[in-house]
Amino acid sequence: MERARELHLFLLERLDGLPEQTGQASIDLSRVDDIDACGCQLLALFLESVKRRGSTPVIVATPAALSERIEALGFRDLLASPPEP
Amino acid sequence: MTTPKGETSSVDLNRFNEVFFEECAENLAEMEQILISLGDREPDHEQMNAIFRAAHSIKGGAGIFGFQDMTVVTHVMESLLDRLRNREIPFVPDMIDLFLEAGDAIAMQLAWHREGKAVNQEAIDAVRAKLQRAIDAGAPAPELPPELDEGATAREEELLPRRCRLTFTPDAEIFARGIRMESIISELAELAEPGEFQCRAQLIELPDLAELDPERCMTRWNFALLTRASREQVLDVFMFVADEEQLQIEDESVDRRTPAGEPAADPPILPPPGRRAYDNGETAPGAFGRRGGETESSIRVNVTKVDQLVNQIGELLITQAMLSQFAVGLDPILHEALQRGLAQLERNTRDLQGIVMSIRLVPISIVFSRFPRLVREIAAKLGKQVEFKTVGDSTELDRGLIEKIADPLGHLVRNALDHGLETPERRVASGKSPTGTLQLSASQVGGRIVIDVTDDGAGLNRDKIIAKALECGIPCSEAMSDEEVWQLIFAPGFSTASEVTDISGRGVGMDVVIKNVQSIGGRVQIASEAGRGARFTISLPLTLAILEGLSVAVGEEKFIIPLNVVIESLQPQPEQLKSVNGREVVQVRGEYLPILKLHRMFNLEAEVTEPQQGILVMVEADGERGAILVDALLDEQQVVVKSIETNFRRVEGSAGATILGDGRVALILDLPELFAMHKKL
Repeated sequence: MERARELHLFLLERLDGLPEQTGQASIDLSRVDDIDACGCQLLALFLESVKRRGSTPVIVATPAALSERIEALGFRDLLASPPEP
Repeated sequence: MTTPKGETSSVDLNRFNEVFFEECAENLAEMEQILISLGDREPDHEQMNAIFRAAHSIKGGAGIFGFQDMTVVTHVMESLLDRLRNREIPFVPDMIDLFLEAGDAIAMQLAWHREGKAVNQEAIDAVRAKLQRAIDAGAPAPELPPELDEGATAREEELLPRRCRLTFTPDAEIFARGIRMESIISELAELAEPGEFQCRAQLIELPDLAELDPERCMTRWNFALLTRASREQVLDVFMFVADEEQLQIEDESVDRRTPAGEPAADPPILPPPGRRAYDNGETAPGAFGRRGGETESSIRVNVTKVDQLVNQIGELLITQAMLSQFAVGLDPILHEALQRGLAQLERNTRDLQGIVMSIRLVPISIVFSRFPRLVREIAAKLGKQVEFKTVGDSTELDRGLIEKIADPLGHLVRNALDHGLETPERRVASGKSPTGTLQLSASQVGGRIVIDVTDDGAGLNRDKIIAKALECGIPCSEAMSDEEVWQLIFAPGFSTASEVTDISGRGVGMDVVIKNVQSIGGRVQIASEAGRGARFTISLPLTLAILEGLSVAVGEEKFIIPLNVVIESLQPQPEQLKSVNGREVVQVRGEYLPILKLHRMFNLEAEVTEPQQGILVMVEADGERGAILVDALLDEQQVVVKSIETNFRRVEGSAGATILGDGRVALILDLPELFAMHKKL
């Protein structure tokens, strides 16, 4: 929560830099140590915005502990990558 | 996204923490009240549930608000209570003291987080270890034959697991409030059977990323669990975070006795709407650990806001007094409408003042409720049997006074237990019941609050007091009246206790009592009868913000003398005026009182400089008497006390200032300081 605004700006910049209709957009979580419900929500909303731009967001390199935290907070479905075609 | 320690949040969380602190303090107080009421009895099912609920609520709230240290003791305590509740271990009377100790440890941690007070970690660890030992040492309760264990079927019903579906739609501010959803979810998961918990988040809004507020919650959580916990336990998880409308709960019993395929019983009725979820059933009789039903129509308001309101009323009173003063010189016929309006304004202002002052009033039970435990512990230590009673618990007095009266009352209670009440053997020998009585009573008498501390012990010993006073160098004589002799015990350093104990008897108690009481405009009177007991009566003003004063004139200046120090006033005859050691004194009924000349002490031009030309106001404070020389007595009036230090600087001899109807500032005299100044002159 403490860094929600900072993360929001970061994600906005990434979204602005994302070309329209690019197919797949990878979101690398390898450097994320921990996440709270506020962060999960922001990330889920970011994924929705990416989808609206016509891209397919794919979360990659999620550390095991982070996966567990996302699962525990109930965001597993919202932050899941779509199944491989 | 990560939450490194030490990074400051943009949101002031103190406001939200305060809600938890208050709830926690309430839970601790309720828990203590139940424990004390038990004596050595085993709590019944409802009392046990109430204690458990209080501990559980504290633990839950502490976890949610990030005070992890506070969850440690509560967790072990909760485990012990749970095992007791389920009759897995037998109750022993010592557990009452253990729970009281645990409550103290939690209160200490609360004080650390709330006020930064030091924490004795060793004490906390010791309590935790004791609780754990009680759990470990508890042998399983003997199994009763089914026909003897009437509660068995009911408990079996309670223990049946049921499927529970819960939807939580938090308010949008939940992240900003610093609530940790992970704690709530994990606490809820603990209530579920192993592997029978599901949690799914769902976005309820999909705003444009550029426009959203990242701290605003737009998520709903859906939970499904199989649980043996009661509906109340499930709702308690959301105690500090959810309003009723934010939670939807549906559950159905998984009745093992119902063959598959047969319809299950009707689902339980949903809780009534319109209340906070955790307040469910709070008005049920004996539902300890919950707020009283009156909270439905009450709100929490910060004391600072109430003080600001009181201050503004003070300003309004002054303005109204000024207007009335201006109107005095106006023609009543020409300005009839104005005069009528001003009279109406005065009535309205007084009514408003009464209402606003009543907001600050709190019941004295807040202080009285501390004593049952104190009495229990001290009586046990001294080997005395004491029946403790309180009367007039609902008597209300100013919140500021409540805080200041607790210590003096504590001293009086300790003294009554230590010196007043006798041991059972001695009581029986003197034809009394072995159990002594100690009573605290409060009532409102006129504009004052009167608190009595009464015991049926040995009473004060006149000869012993006089002998001790002489030994301590305190002036006294056999000719003194009983009332005067009793007052000697308030002298600094006075103590008749032959041994210094850790309860009282250090001789630092009673003078502190009188000083504290006098500092809030109070008085202490003593009545005692040998062999029958003693009564200490504390009389206090209703409030500190407004005081009854006597306004007096000295030259061009006006002063306010607090009415509670005034004995009488007189115009001295020349033969009453004497000089002792070069100081002017007045002789009143055989007593020589020093004359305090305000014009000299405050360096004023005065019309009256000699006592025989003016009026002497006899005053008494801190056991010291004197006569203040003034030009004239003006009026008795209620004055609004203002801090002179805040607005100007400290003025020696004054306890503050007030603004008079003519807009001028008048100093409120501080008698003990005036006496000290007089001695230095």
